[in-house]
Amino acid sequence: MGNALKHLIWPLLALLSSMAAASARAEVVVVGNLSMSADALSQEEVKEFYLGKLQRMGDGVAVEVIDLPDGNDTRDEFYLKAMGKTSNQIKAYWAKRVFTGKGAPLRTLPHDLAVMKWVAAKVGRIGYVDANVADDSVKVLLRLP
Amino acid sequence: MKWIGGGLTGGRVAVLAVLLGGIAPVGAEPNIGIFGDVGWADRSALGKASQFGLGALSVYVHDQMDDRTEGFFEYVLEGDGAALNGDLERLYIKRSVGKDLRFGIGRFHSPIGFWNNHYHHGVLMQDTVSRPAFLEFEDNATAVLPTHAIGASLEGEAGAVGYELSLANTVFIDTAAPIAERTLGVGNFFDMADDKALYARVSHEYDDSGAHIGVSYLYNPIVEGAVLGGVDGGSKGQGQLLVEQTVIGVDGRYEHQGFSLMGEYFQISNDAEAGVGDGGSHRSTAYYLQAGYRVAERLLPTYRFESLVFDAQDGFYTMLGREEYTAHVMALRYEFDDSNAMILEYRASDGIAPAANPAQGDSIKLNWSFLLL
Repeated sequence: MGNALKHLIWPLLALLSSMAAASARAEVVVVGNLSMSADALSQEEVKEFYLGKLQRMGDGVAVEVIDLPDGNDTRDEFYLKAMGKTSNQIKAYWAKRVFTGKGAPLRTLPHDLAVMKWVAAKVGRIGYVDANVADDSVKVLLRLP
Repeated sequence: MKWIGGGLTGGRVAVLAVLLGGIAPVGAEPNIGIFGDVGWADRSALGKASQFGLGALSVYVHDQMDDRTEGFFEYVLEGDGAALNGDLERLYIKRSVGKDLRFGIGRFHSPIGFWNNHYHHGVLMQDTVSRPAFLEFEDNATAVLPTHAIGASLEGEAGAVGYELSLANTVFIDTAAPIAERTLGVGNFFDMADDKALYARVSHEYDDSGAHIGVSYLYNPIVEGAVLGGVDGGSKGQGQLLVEQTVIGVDGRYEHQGFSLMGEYFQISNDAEAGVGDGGSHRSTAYYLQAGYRVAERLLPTYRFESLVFDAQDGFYTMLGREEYTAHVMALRYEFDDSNAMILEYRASDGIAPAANPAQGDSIKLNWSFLLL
Protein backbone atom coordinates (compact mmCIF):
# COMPACT_ATOMS: atom_id res chain seq x y z
CA MET A 1 0.00 0.00 0.00
CA GLY A 2 2.87 2.38 0.92
CA ASN A 3 4.58 1.90 -2.44
CA ALA A 4 1.31 2.42 -4.22
CA LEU A 5 0.86 5.76 -2.42
CA LYS A 6 4.37 6.84 -3.41
CA HIS A 7 3.56 6.10 -7.04
CA LEU A 8 0.35 8.06 -6.84
CA ILE A 9 1.56 11.13 -4.97
CA TRP A 10 3.70 12.70 -7.73
CA PRO A 11 1.10 12.41 -10.49
CA LEU A 12 -1.46 13.78 -8.04
CA LEU A 13 0.75 16.76 -7.18
CA ALA A 14 1.36 17.40 -10.87
CA LEU A 15 -2.35 17.32 -11.53
CA LEU A 16 -3.08 19.73 -8.68
CA SER A 17 -0.40 22.13 -9.80
CA SER A 18 -1.69 22.14 -13.39
CA MET A 19 -5.20 22.79 -12.09
CA ALA A 20 -3.88 25.70 -10.03
CA ALA A 21 -2.12 27.11 -13.09
CA ALA A 22 -5.27 26.81 -15.16
CA SER A 23 -7.28 28.59 -12.51
CA ALA A 24 -4.88 31.56 -12.64
CA ARG A 25 -6.68 32.88 -15.71
CA ALA A 26 -4.93 35.25 -18.06
CA GLU A 27 -5.95 38.89 -18.22
CA VAL A 28 -7.73 39.86 -21.42
CA VAL A 29 -7.58 43.39 -22.80
CA VAL A 30 -9.83 45.08 -25.32
CA VAL A 31 -7.68 47.01 -27.76
CA GLY A 32 -8.47 49.71 -30.30
CA ASN A 33 -6.77 51.53 -33.11
CA LEU A 34 -4.42 54.29 -31.91
CA SER A 35 -6.30 57.02 -33.74
CA MET A 36 -9.55 56.42 -31.86
CA SER A 37 -10.64 59.46 -29.88
CA ALA A 38 -11.84 57.41 -26.91
CA ASP A 39 -9.23 56.33 -24.37
CA ALA A 40 -11.47 53.80 -22.67
CA LEU A 41 -14.63 51.78 -23.18
CA SER A 42 -17.04 50.64 -20.51
CA GLN A 43 -17.75 46.93 -20.13
CA GLU A 44 -21.33 47.63 -21.29
CA GLU A 45 -20.08 49.31 -24.48
CA VAL A 46 -17.78 46.40 -25.23
CA LYS A 47 -20.68 44.00 -24.67
CA GLU A 48 -22.90 45.93 -27.09
CA PHE A 49 -20.20 46.08 -29.76
CA TYR A 50 -19.61 42.34 -29.51
CA LEU A 51 -23.30 41.46 -29.55
CA GLY A 52 -23.82 43.50 -32.69
CA LYS A 53 -26.07 46.03 -30.96
CA LEU A 54 -23.77 49.03 -31.29
CA GLN A 55 -21.88 49.93 -34.45
CA ARG A 56 -20.53 53.43 -33.79
CA MET A 57 -18.44 55.25 -31.21
CA GLY A 58 -19.84 58.26 -29.41
CA ASP A 59 -18.10 60.55 -31.92
CA GLY A 60 -19.84 58.81 -34.84
CA VAL A 61 -16.85 56.78 -36.04
CA ALA A 62 -17.97 53.42 -37.45
CA VAL A 63 -16.61 50.51 -35.41
CA GLU A 64 -15.44 47.16 -36.75
CA VAL A 65 -14.91 44.42 -34.21
CA ILE A 66 -13.06 41.17 -34.68
CA ASP A 67 -13.44 37.87 -32.89
CA LEU A 68 -11.21 34.87 -32.21
CA PRO A 69 -12.37 31.43 -33.34
CA ASP A 70 -14.51 29.08 -31.31
CA GLY A 71 -12.34 26.98 -28.98
CA ASN A 72 -9.72 29.69 -28.48
CA ASP A 73 -8.85 30.15 -24.76
CA THR A 74 -8.67 33.96 -24.97
CA ARG A 75 -12.10 33.99 -26.60
CA ASP A 76 -13.61 31.87 -23.80
CA GLU A 77 -12.04 34.19 -21.19
CA PHE A 78 -13.23 37.31 -22.97
CA TYR A 79 -16.89 36.31 -23.20
CA LEU A 80 -16.96 35.01 -19.65
CA LYS A 81 -15.39 38.17 -18.22
CA ALA A 82 -17.01 40.77 -20.48
CA MET A 83 -20.56 39.45 -20.42
CA GLY A 84 -20.74 36.37 -18.22
CA LYS A 85 -21.49 34.12 -21.20
CA THR A 86 -20.04 30.77 -22.14
CA SER A 87 -18.96 29.96 -25.67
CA ASN A 88 -22.10 27.84 -26.19
CA GLN A 89 -24.33 30.69 -25.02
CA ILE A 90 -22.66 33.03 -27.51
CA LYS A 91 -23.16 30.47 -30.27
CA ALA A 92 -26.86 30.20 -29.35
CA TYR A 93 -27.16 33.99 -29.30
CA TRP A 94 -25.77 34.34 -32.83
CA ALA A 95 -27.83 31.40 -34.08
CA LYS A 96 -31.00 33.24 -33.02
CA ARG A 97 -29.78 36.50 -34.60
CA VAL A 98 -28.99 34.71 -37.86
CA PHE A 99 -32.29 32.81 -37.85
CA THR A 100 -34.27 36.01 -37.39
CA GLY A 101 -32.25 37.90 -39.99
CA LYS A 102 -30.84 40.36 -37.48
CA GLY A 103 -27.17 39.82 -38.14
CA ALA A 104 -24.31 37.47 -38.83
CA PRO A 105 -21.62 36.28 -36.40
CA LEU A 106 -18.50 38.40 -36.19
CA ARG A 107 -15.60 37.76 -38.49
CA THR A 108 -12.66 36.00 -36.92
CA LEU A 109 -8.88 35.94 -37.04
CA PRO A 110 -6.95 32.83 -36.05
CA HIS A 111 -4.95 34.23 -33.10
CA ASP A 112 -4.08 37.24 -30.94
CA LEU A 113 -1.17 38.43 -33.09
CA ALA A 114 -3.34 38.60 -36.17
CA VAL A 115 -5.88 40.61 -34.15
CA MET A 116 -3.14 43.06 -33.09
CA LYS A 117 -2.06 43.59 -36.68
CA TRP A 118 -5.64 44.00 -37.91
CA VAL A 119 -6.60 46.50 -35.19
CA ALA A 120 -3.45 48.57 -35.70
CA ALA A 121 -4.08 48.90 -39.44
CA LYS A 122 -7.26 51.00 -39.54
CA VAL A 123 -9.22 53.55 -37.52
CA GLY A 124 -12.39 52.29 -35.82
CA ARG A 125 -11.14 48.74 -35.32
CA ILE A 126 -11.53 46.95 -32.00
CA GLY A 127 -10.36 43.53 -30.86
CA TYR A 128 -9.42 41.66 -27.73
CA VAL A 129 -6.20 39.81 -26.94
CA ASP A 130 -4.32 38.21 -24.08
CA ALA A 131 -2.85 41.11 -22.03
CA ASN A 132 0.66 39.71 -22.57
CA VAL A 133 0.34 40.27 -26.31
CA ALA A 134 -0.82 43.91 -26.24
CA ASP A 135 1.81 46.51 -27.03
CA ASP A 136 2.02 50.18 -27.98
CA SER A 137 0.85 49.60 -31.56
CA VAL A 138 -2.71 49.68 -30.21
CA LYS A 139 -4.63 51.41 -27.44
CA VAL A 140 -5.86 49.41 -24.45
CA LEU A 141 -9.52 50.41 -24.01
CA LEU A 142 -10.60 48.01 -21.27
CA ARG A 143 -8.88 45.52 -18.99
CA LEU A 144 -10.69 42.35 -18.00
CA PRO A 145 -8.58 40.87 -15.19
CA MET B 1 -0.57 32.54 -25.95
CA LYS B 2 1.64 32.14 -22.89
CA TRP B 3 4.55 31.14 -25.15
CA ILE B 4 4.76 34.71 -26.39
CA GLY B 5 5.74 35.96 -22.96
CA GLY B 6 5.42 39.44 -21.52
CA GLY B 7 8.54 40.80 -23.16
CA LEU B 8 7.18 40.93 -26.64
CA THR B 9 7.90 44.38 -28.03
CA GLY B 10 6.15 46.32 -30.73
CA GLY B 11 9.10 45.64 -33.03
CA ARG B 12 8.85 41.92 -32.54
CA VAL B 13 5.14 42.08 -33.15
CA ALA B 14 5.83 43.93 -36.38
CA VAL B 15 8.27 41.21 -37.51
CA LEU B 16 5.81 38.51 -36.62
CA ALA B 17 3.07 40.47 -38.34
CA VAL B 18 5.11 40.50 -41.54
CA LEU B 19 5.64 36.76 -41.21
CA LEU B 20 1.92 36.39 -40.67
CA GLY B 21 1.11 38.73 -43.55
CA GLY B 22 -1.83 37.79 -45.71
CA ILE B 23 -4.05 36.66 -42.83
CA ALA B 24 -7.37 38.30 -43.51
CA PRO B 25 -10.47 38.22 -41.31
CA VAL B 26 -12.85 35.51 -42.30
CA GLY B 27 -16.54 35.21 -41.75
CA ALA B 28 -17.51 32.33 -39.58
CA GLU B 29 -18.09 29.05 -41.36
CA PRO B 30 -21.58 28.79 -42.87
CA ASN B 31 -23.96 28.90 -39.93
CA ILE B 32 -25.98 25.73 -39.68
CA GLY B 33 -28.54 25.10 -36.97
CA ILE B 34 -31.67 23.19 -36.14
CA PHE B 35 -34.61 24.51 -34.17
CA GLY B 36 -36.93 21.76 -32.97
CA ASP B 37 -39.66 21.07 -30.49
CA VAL B 38 -41.46 18.08 -29.03
CA GLY B 39 -44.31 17.90 -26.60
CA TRP B 40 -47.53 16.62 -25.17
CA ALA B 41 -51.09 17.82 -25.66
CA ASP B 42 -54.24 17.23 -23.64
CA ARG B 43 -57.12 17.30 -26.11
CA SER B 44 -59.80 15.88 -23.81
CA ALA B 45 -61.87 19.05 -24.34
CA LEU B 46 -62.15 17.97 -27.97
CA GLY B 47 -63.11 14.43 -26.98
CA LYS B 48 -59.79 13.13 -28.23
CA ALA B 49 -56.94 11.21 -26.67
CA SER B 50 -54.07 13.05 -25.07
CA GLN B 51 -50.87 12.51 -26.95
CA PHE B 52 -47.15 13.01 -27.24
CA GLY B 53 -46.07 14.47 -30.52
CA LEU B 54 -43.24 15.90 -32.54
CA GLY B 55 -43.40 19.58 -33.42
CA ALA B 56 -41.53 21.21 -36.24
CA LEU B 57 -37.89 20.64 -37.10
CA SER B 58 -36.43 23.68 -38.79
CA VAL B 59 -33.02 23.27 -40.44
CA TYR B 60 -31.32 26.43 -41.60
CA VAL B 61 -28.09 27.42 -43.31
CA HIS B 62 -26.81 30.98 -43.52
CA ASP B 63 -23.66 32.05 -45.28
CA GLN B 64 -22.08 35.47 -45.41
CA MET B 65 -20.61 34.88 -48.84
CA ASP B 66 -18.67 38.12 -48.93
CA ASP B 67 -18.76 41.52 -47.23
CA ARG B 68 -21.94 42.45 -49.06
CA THR B 69 -23.73 39.23 -49.94
CA GLU B 70 -25.54 36.69 -47.77
CA GLY B 71 -27.63 33.63 -48.51
CA PHE B 72 -30.18 31.89 -46.32
CA PHE B 73 -32.00 28.56 -46.57
CA GLU B 74 -34.57 27.06 -44.20
CA TYR B 75 -36.37 23.74 -44.55
CA VAL B 76 -39.03 22.63 -42.08
CA LEU B 77 -40.12 19.07 -41.38
CA GLU B 78 -43.41 18.72 -39.54
CA GLY B 79 -46.24 16.26 -39.19
CA ASP B 80 -49.71 16.82 -40.61
CA GLY B 81 -51.31 14.43 -38.12
CA ALA B 82 -50.27 11.30 -39.98
CA ALA B 83 -47.11 11.74 -42.01
CA LEU B 84 -43.98 13.86 -41.92
CA ASN B 85 -43.97 16.60 -44.54
CA GLY B 86 -41.18 18.86 -45.66
CA ASP B 87 -41.58 22.49 -46.69
CA LEU B 88 -39.11 24.95 -48.09
CA GLU B 89 -39.80 27.91 -45.81
CA ARG B 90 -37.16 30.46 -46.71
CA LEU B 91 -34.62 30.70 -49.50
CA TYR B 92 -33.09 34.02 -50.43
CA ILE B 93 -30.01 35.91 -51.36
CA LYS B 94 -29.44 39.52 -50.28
CA ARG B 95 -26.82 42.04 -51.22
CA SER B 96 -25.94 45.41 -49.74
CA VAL B 97 -26.52 48.06 -52.38
CA GLY B 98 -25.59 51.03 -50.27
CA LYS B 99 -25.02 52.08 -46.73
CA ASP B 100 -27.64 50.28 -44.60
CA LEU B 101 -29.64 49.25 -47.68
CA ARG B 102 -30.08 45.68 -48.97
CA PHE B 103 -31.74 44.14 -52.00
CA GLY B 104 -32.83 40.53 -52.09
CA ILE B 105 -34.79 38.01 -54.09
CA GLY B 106 -36.29 34.74 -52.92
CA ARG B 107 -38.81 33.37 -50.46
CA PHE B 108 -39.06 35.44 -47.27
CA HIS B 109 -41.35 35.75 -44.32
CA SER B 110 -43.68 38.51 -45.41
CA PRO B 111 -42.88 41.83 -43.73
CA ILE B 112 -46.25 42.24 -42.09
CA GLY B 113 -46.33 42.86 -38.36
CA PHE B 114 -43.89 41.77 -35.70
CA TRP B 115 -44.54 38.11 -34.89
CA ASN B 116 -44.04 36.79 -38.39
CA ASN B 117 -40.61 38.35 -38.76
CA HIS B 118 -39.36 37.91 -35.23
CA TYR B 119 -40.16 34.34 -34.23
CA HIS B 120 -40.33 32.64 -37.64
CA HIS B 121 -40.50 28.84 -37.14
CA GLY B 122 -38.62 28.76 -33.85
CA VAL B 123 -40.88 28.00 -30.87
CA LEU B 124 -37.76 28.42 -28.72
CA MET B 125 -37.95 32.17 -29.27
CA GLN B 126 -41.67 32.46 -28.48
CA ASP B 127 -43.08 33.06 -25.00
CA THR B 128 -46.06 30.82 -25.83
CA VAL B 129 -46.29 27.48 -27.64
CA SER B 130 -48.84 28.67 -30.17
CA ARG B 131 -48.82 31.58 -32.57
CA PRO B 132 -51.91 33.79 -32.72
CA ALA B 133 -54.27 31.62 -34.80
CA PHE B 134 -54.89 34.28 -37.45
CA LEU B 135 -51.11 34.59 -37.91
CA GLU B 136 -50.60 30.85 -38.46
CA PHE B 137 -48.69 29.80 -41.58
CA GLU B 138 -50.70 29.64 -44.80
CA ASP B 139 -51.16 25.85 -44.80
CA ASN B 140 -52.94 26.03 -41.44
CA ALA B 141 -56.75 26.12 -41.39
CA THR B 142 -56.86 29.29 -39.26
CA ALA B 143 -54.49 31.47 -41.31
CA VAL B 144 -55.89 34.65 -42.82
CA LEU B 145 -52.73 36.51 -43.84
CA PRO B 146 -49.94 35.45 -46.20
CA THR B 147 -46.95 34.74 -43.97
CA HIS B 148 -44.53 34.00 -46.82
CA ALA B 149 -43.73 36.11 -49.85
CA ILE B 150 -41.91 35.02 -52.98
CA GLY B 151 -40.48 38.05 -54.66
CA ALA B 152 -38.00 40.90 -54.39
CA SER B 153 -37.29 42.94 -51.30
CA LEU B 154 -35.57 46.22 -50.54
CA GLU B 155 -34.83 46.79 -46.86
CA GLY B 156 -32.71 49.10 -44.81
CA GLU B 157 -32.27 51.28 -41.78
CA ALA B 158 -31.97 55.01 -41.24
CA GLY B 159 -30.84 55.33 -37.66
CA ALA B 160 -33.43 53.65 -35.49
CA VAL B 161 -35.98 53.54 -38.31
CA GLY B 162 -36.18 50.35 -40.34
CA TYR B 163 -38.07 50.02 -43.62
CA GLU B 164 -38.90 47.30 -46.10
CA LEU B 165 -40.62 47.26 -49.46
CA SER B 166 -41.42 43.99 -51.22
CA LEU B 167 -43.06 42.93 -54.45
CA ALA B 168 -44.31 39.34 -54.42
CA ASN B 169 -46.27 36.70 -56.27
CA THR B 170 -50.03 36.86 -55.84
CA VAL B 171 -51.84 34.72 -53.30
CA PHE B 172 -54.27 32.16 -54.71
CA ILE B 173 -57.09 30.00 -53.33
CA ASP B 174 -58.15 26.77 -54.97
CA THR B 175 -61.90 27.20 -54.60
CA ALA B 176 -62.58 23.83 -56.21
CA ALA B 177 -61.08 22.12 -53.15
CA PRO B 178 -63.35 21.04 -50.26
CA ILE B 179 -63.86 24.09 -48.07
CA ALA B 180 -62.11 22.48 -45.05
CA GLU B 181 -58.99 22.03 -47.18
CA ARG B 182 -58.74 25.51 -48.65
CA THR B 183 -55.62 27.45 -47.80
CA LEU B 184 -53.81 30.57 -48.92
CA GLY B 185 -51.44 29.50 -51.68
CA VAL B 186 -48.19 31.21 -52.60
CA GLY B 187 -46.40 30.03 -55.72
CA ASN B 188 -42.72 29.24 -55.28
CA PHE B 189 -42.10 28.62 -58.97
CA PHE B 190 -44.96 30.43 -60.67
CA ASP B 191 -47.49 33.21 -60.40
CA MET B 192 -51.02 32.76 -61.65
CA ALA B 193 -51.49 36.45 -62.45
CA ASP B 194 -49.53 39.40 -63.76
CA ASP B 195 -50.61 41.50 -60.80
CA LYS B 196 -48.33 41.39 -57.77
CA ALA B 197 -48.68 41.79 -54.01
CA LEU B 198 -47.04 44.85 -52.49
CA TYR B 199 -45.73 44.89 -48.93
CA ALA B 200 -44.42 47.96 -47.10
CA ARG B 201 -43.28 48.27 -43.52
CA VAL B 202 -41.73 51.02 -41.41
CA SER B 203 -40.68 50.46 -37.80
CA HIS B 204 -38.90 52.41 -35.12
CA GLU B 205 -36.77 50.69 -32.49
CA TYR B 206 -36.31 52.47 -29.19
CA ASP B 207 -33.51 50.37 -27.77
CA ASP B 208 -31.95 46.95 -28.15
CA SER B 209 -34.53 45.30 -25.87
CA GLY B 210 -36.89 44.94 -28.83
CA ALA B 211 -39.08 47.91 -27.86
CA HIS B 212 -40.53 49.28 -31.08
CA ILE B 213 -43.56 50.43 -32.99
CA GLY B 214 -44.26 49.43 -36.57
CA VAL B 215 -46.73 50.09 -39.35
CA SER B 216 -47.34 47.61 -42.19
CA TYR B 217 -49.25 47.84 -45.46
CA LEU B 218 -50.21 45.06 -47.84
CA TYR B 219 -51.93 45.26 -51.21
CA ASN B 220 -52.94 41.67 -51.86
CA PRO B 221 -54.81 40.65 -55.04
CA ILE B 222 -56.12 37.15 -54.33
CA VAL B 223 -56.74 35.06 -57.43
CA GLU B 224 -58.42 31.81 -58.36
CA GLY B 225 -56.16 28.78 -58.08
CA ALA B 226 -58.53 26.20 -59.50
CA VAL B 227 -58.33 25.24 -63.15
CA LEU B 228 -61.98 24.20 -63.26
CA GLY B 229 -65.02 24.17 -61.03
CA GLY B 230 -64.17 27.03 -58.70
CA VAL B 231 -66.51 29.61 -57.16
CA ASP B 232 -69.76 30.44 -58.83
CA GLY B 233 -69.71 27.25 -60.87
CA GLY B 234 -66.28 28.00 -62.23
CA SER B 235 -66.99 31.45 -63.60
CA LYS B 236 -63.54 32.59 -62.54
CA GLY B 237 -60.71 31.11 -64.54
CA GLN B 238 -57.35 30.29 -62.99
CA GLY B 239 -55.49 33.48 -62.20
CA GLN B 240 -58.58 35.70 -62.28
CA LEU B 241 -59.13 38.10 -59.41
CA LEU B 242 -61.37 36.89 -56.56
CA VAL B 243 -60.75 39.48 -53.86
CA GLU B 244 -58.76 42.69 -53.84
CA GLN B 245 -57.43 42.85 -50.29
CA THR B 246 -55.66 45.66 -48.47
CA VAL B 247 -54.26 45.25 -44.99
CA ILE B 248 -53.05 47.98 -42.66
CA GLY B 249 -51.29 46.80 -39.52
CA VAL B 250 -49.88 48.44 -36.41
CA ASP B 251 -47.64 46.59 -33.99
CA GLY B 252 -45.65 47.44 -30.91
CA ARG B 253 -43.56 45.95 -28.17
CA TYR B 254 -42.34 47.37 -24.87
CA GLU B 255 -40.04 45.84 -22.27
CA HIS B 256 -39.06 47.22 -18.91
CA GLN B 257 -37.60 45.53 -15.84
CA GLY B 258 -38.92 42.08 -16.67
CA PHE B 259 -42.29 43.31 -17.90
CA SER B 260 -43.14 42.92 -21.59
CA LEU B 261 -46.16 44.07 -23.54
CA MET B 262 -46.69 43.45 -27.22
CA GLY B 263 -49.56 43.54 -29.66
CA GLU B 264 -50.56 43.67 -33.30
CA TYR B 265 -53.70 45.08 -34.88
CA PHE B 266 -54.71 44.52 -38.50
CA GLN B 267 -57.53 46.11 -40.42
CA ILE B 268 -58.28 43.87 -43.40
CA SER B 269 -60.39 45.31 -46.24
CA ASN B 270 -61.77 42.80 -48.74
CA ASP B 271 -63.32 43.94 -52.00
CA ALA B 272 -64.82 40.79 -53.51
CA GLU B 273 -65.56 40.27 -57.18
CA ALA B 274 -69.09 39.38 -58.27
CA GLY B 275 -69.87 35.78 -57.39
CA VAL B 276 -67.51 35.74 -54.40
CA GLY B 277 -69.55 35.92 -51.17
CA ASP B 278 -71.97 38.80 -51.60
CA GLY B 279 -69.60 40.43 -54.08
CA GLY B 280 -69.29 43.45 -51.79
CA SER B 281 -66.69 45.28 -49.77
CA HIS B 282 -66.14 44.49 -46.10
CA ARG B 283 -63.76 45.42 -43.34
CA SER B 284 -62.55 43.01 -40.68
CA THR B 285 -60.15 43.20 -37.75
CA ALA B 286 -57.63 40.80 -36.30
CA TYR B 287 -55.52 41.56 -33.26
CA TYR B 288 -53.74 40.17 -30.24
CA LEU B 289 -52.39 41.69 -27.06
CA GLN B 290 -49.78 39.80 -25.05
CA ALA B 291 -48.25 40.60 -21.66
CA GLY B 292 -45.59 38.83 -19.66
CA TYR B 293 -43.67 39.38 -16.46
CA ARG B 294 -40.39 37.64 -15.67
CA VAL B 295 -40.91 36.52 -12.06
CA ALA B 296 -37.48 34.89 -11.90
CA GLU B 297 -34.44 34.93 -14.17
CA ARG B 298 -35.64 31.86 -16.08
CA LEU B 299 -39.38 31.85 -15.41
CA LEU B 300 -41.83 33.83 -17.55
CA PRO B 301 -45.63 33.67 -17.25
CA THR B 302 -47.49 35.17 -20.22
CA TYR B 303 -51.10 35.96 -21.11
CA ARG B 304 -52.42 36.68 -24.60
CA PHE B 305 -55.82 37.66 -25.94
CA GLU B 306 -56.60 37.11 -29.63
CA SER B 307 -59.56 38.15 -31.75
CA LEU B 308 -60.71 37.88 -35.35
CA VAL B 309 -63.96 39.66 -36.25
CA PHE B 310 -65.55 39.90 -39.72
CA ASP B 311 -68.90 40.24 -41.50
CA ALA B 312 -70.58 36.91 -42.14
CA GLN B 313 -71.07 37.94 -45.80
CA ASP B 314 -67.37 38.74 -46.37
CA GLY B 315 -66.48 36.69 -49.45
CA PHE B 316 -62.84 36.24 -48.46
CA TYR B 317 -63.68 34.44 -45.22
CA THR B 318 -66.65 32.45 -46.56
CA MET B 319 -64.51 31.27 -49.48
CA LEU B 320 -61.74 30.18 -47.09
CA GLY B 321 -64.14 28.70 -44.56
CA ARG B 322 -62.79 30.75 -41.69
CA GLU B 323 -64.69 31.53 -38.47
CA GLU B 324 -64.65 34.47 -36.12
CA TYR B 325 -63.00 33.67 -32.81
CA THR B 326 -61.53 34.94 -29.60
CA ALA B 327 -58.90 33.11 -27.57
CA HIS B 328 -57.26 33.38 -24.17
CA VAL B 329 -53.77 31.92 -23.94
CA MET B 330 -51.88 31.45 -20.68
CA ALA B 331 -48.33 30.16 -20.77
CA LEU B 332 -45.52 29.48 -18.33
CA ARG B 333 -42.07 29.34 -19.86
CA TYR B 334 -39.00 27.97 -18.08
CA GLU B 335 -35.60 28.46 -19.72
CA PHE B 336 -33.15 25.69 -18.89
CA ASP B 337 -30.51 27.43 -20.97
CA ASP B 338 -30.22 29.71 -24.01
CA SER B 339 -30.58 26.59 -26.13
CA ASN B 340 -33.69 24.95 -24.66
CA ALA B 341 -36.87 25.92 -22.87
CA MET B 342 -40.10 24.30 -21.74
CA ILE B 343 -43.52 25.97 -22.05
CA LEU B 344 -46.78 24.88 -20.46
CA GLU B 345 -49.71 26.50 -22.26
CA TYR B 346 -53.46 26.56 -21.71
CA ARG B 347 -55.47 27.86 -24.61
CA ALA B 348 -59.21 28.50 -24.46
CA SER B 349 -60.72 29.58 -27.74
CA ASP B 350 -64.26 30.30 -28.75
CA GLY B 351 -65.42 30.20 -32.31
CA ILE B 352 -62.91 28.12 -34.23
CA ALA B 353 -64.41 24.80 -35.29
CA PRO B 354 -62.20 22.11 -33.79
CA ALA B 355 -63.05 19.82 -36.68
CA ALA B 356 -61.46 22.29 -39.06
CA ASN B 357 -58.27 22.45 -37.08
CA PRO B 358 -57.60 20.01 -34.24
CA ALA B 359 -54.70 22.19 -33.17
CA GLN B 360 -57.18 24.82 -32.01
CA GLY B 361 -60.05 24.72 -29.53
CA ASP B 362 -59.43 24.37 -25.78
CA SER B 363 -56.18 22.59 -25.12
CA ILE B 364 -53.29 22.16 -22.75
CA LYS B 365 -49.84 21.73 -24.22
CA LEU B 366 -46.43 21.05 -22.81
CA ASN B 367 -43.68 21.89 -25.26
CA TRP B 368 -39.92 21.48 -25.04
CA SER B 369 -38.12 23.49 -27.70
CA PHE B 370 -34.42 23.44 -28.46
CA LEU B 371 -31.63 24.63 -30.68
CA LEU B 372 -28.98 22.24 -32.00
CA LEU B 373 -25.72 23.74 -33.25
